[in-house]
Amino acid sequence: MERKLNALLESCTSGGCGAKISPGTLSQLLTGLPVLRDDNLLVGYGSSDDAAVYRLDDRRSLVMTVDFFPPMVDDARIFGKIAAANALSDVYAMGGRPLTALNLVCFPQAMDTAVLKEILVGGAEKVMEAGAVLSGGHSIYDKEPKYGLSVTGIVDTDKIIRNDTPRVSDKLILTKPLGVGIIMAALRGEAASMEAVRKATASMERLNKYAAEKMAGHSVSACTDVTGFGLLAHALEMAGDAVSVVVYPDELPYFDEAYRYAGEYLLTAAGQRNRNHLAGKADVERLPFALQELMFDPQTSGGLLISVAAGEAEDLLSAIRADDPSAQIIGEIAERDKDIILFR
Amino acid sequence: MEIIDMLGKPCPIPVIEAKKALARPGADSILVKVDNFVAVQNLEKMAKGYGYGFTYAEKSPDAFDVSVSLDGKAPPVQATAADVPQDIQCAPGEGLVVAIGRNTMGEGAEELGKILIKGFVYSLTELPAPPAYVFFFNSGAYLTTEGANTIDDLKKLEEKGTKIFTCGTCLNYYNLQEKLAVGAVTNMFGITEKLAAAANVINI
Repeated sequence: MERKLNALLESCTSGGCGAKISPGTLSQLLTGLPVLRDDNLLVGYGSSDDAAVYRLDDRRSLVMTVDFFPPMVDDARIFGKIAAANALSDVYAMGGRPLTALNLVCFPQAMDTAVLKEILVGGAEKVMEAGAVLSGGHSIYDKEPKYGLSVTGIVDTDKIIRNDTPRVSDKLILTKPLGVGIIMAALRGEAASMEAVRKATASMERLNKYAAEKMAGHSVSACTDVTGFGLLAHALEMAGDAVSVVVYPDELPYFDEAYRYAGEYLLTAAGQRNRNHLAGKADVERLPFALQELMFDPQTSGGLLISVAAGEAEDLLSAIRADDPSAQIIGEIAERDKDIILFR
Repeated sequence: MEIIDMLGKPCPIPVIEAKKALARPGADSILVKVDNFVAVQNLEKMAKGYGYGFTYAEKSPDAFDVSVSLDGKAPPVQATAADVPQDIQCAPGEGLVVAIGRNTMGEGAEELGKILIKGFVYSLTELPAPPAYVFFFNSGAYLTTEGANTIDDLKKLEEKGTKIFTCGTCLNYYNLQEKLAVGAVTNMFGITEKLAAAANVINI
């Protein structure tokens, strides 16, 4: 049964990863928290990585992540799938394999619980596709519905892929088209075509599992998933303090409709927050306005951004394209320049 | 000057409403009230992109008054008329648009209403100049979907160049989204834009 209720979308003031607290605000909040040092915590929030990694023994580490947000689509089942694909993605971005998942649910007392059922079914379907086991959860009443999962995965400790360790001269592969945030914004304004919404939802509910599996056997130095902060803020995180990221604007994969809607200023608040965050760090002004917006666009369940040795980039790209045909080589890693993000 | 209260409205709604207000006949400048600075910035991108005048005043941390003026520039293009082909524009002074918002015609016996609506659709095919657009919404969606006795005549209309659209929200509401048998899907923007531009409208 397909269940569509306008109430789902209308109950929320902002949906998907667009609801995230801005990266600048977040890092301010996190500095100065009391922290117990533990040498087995290999990746914590000190490094703004996709997931936490905790060493279990000589060989293996746990990968832990949590993600939840308000609906960005009206179809409850699809919302469940997207939220789950998004939560699972962080494990894939670390090079890990998801093992268990716990549901996180906020749901209005007055809303039809059949809607919640559909959300949970959608989530469970994606957890199953990921090969992980749904193992519990927690539900509370809230004015606005929200759904997501806490996912635990496992990774060989020597195969952890961090997000801020790219090698100079590596190529960057992006595995999904940009623009889902703009299309969902246009949907809210009832200005999106059904075709655009269909393409965007198909992209959002797609697991990054398939692209991630292709990374094995290739010399990948860094990986992250592009989500609410948009391509450029995630590229900025990847550059860290050590290198610069060169983006090839002409090579970016995006939805044509999103480019058009951006030109009509159907833009999200989160996209503007991302633009503000990048001020002074990326000189986007000479690029077409719509392309700028696509690079700032918050991506709910976006693709992987993979830094791979230049000599292996074409090989990895064609392997990824077998399942994710929109993937493109969208840039490279360069020696640190005065600009952290450059365009060429 | 029109005042548009967008307090509590998430992006991109303030920009969409501002564009609509600026596109209204006689509009020259508007005042948009928003509750966050990011919305001010998104309005600024739109205004500067079109070359319009832009100023804002911060009334309080969660109240901003944004002024946008056309400054003699052309009004903005209306937000995307999604799914409606851009190459066929129904310019004022030409073309007939038919809007059918129910699956019967007239008040009275339902059985008779259904006979009449079928006859009406057939009659449209016999007009010397067929309508430019026929839009179906609400229970009108039952006339463009599988099982309807109006499909053949609607296909005949399509052959004569009439564009037939059904409201997507309505298809979803009646669970007919998989059953569309003629024409394409549109949304309220698509319908409203063509109705507003039509020389003549027949509303059933």
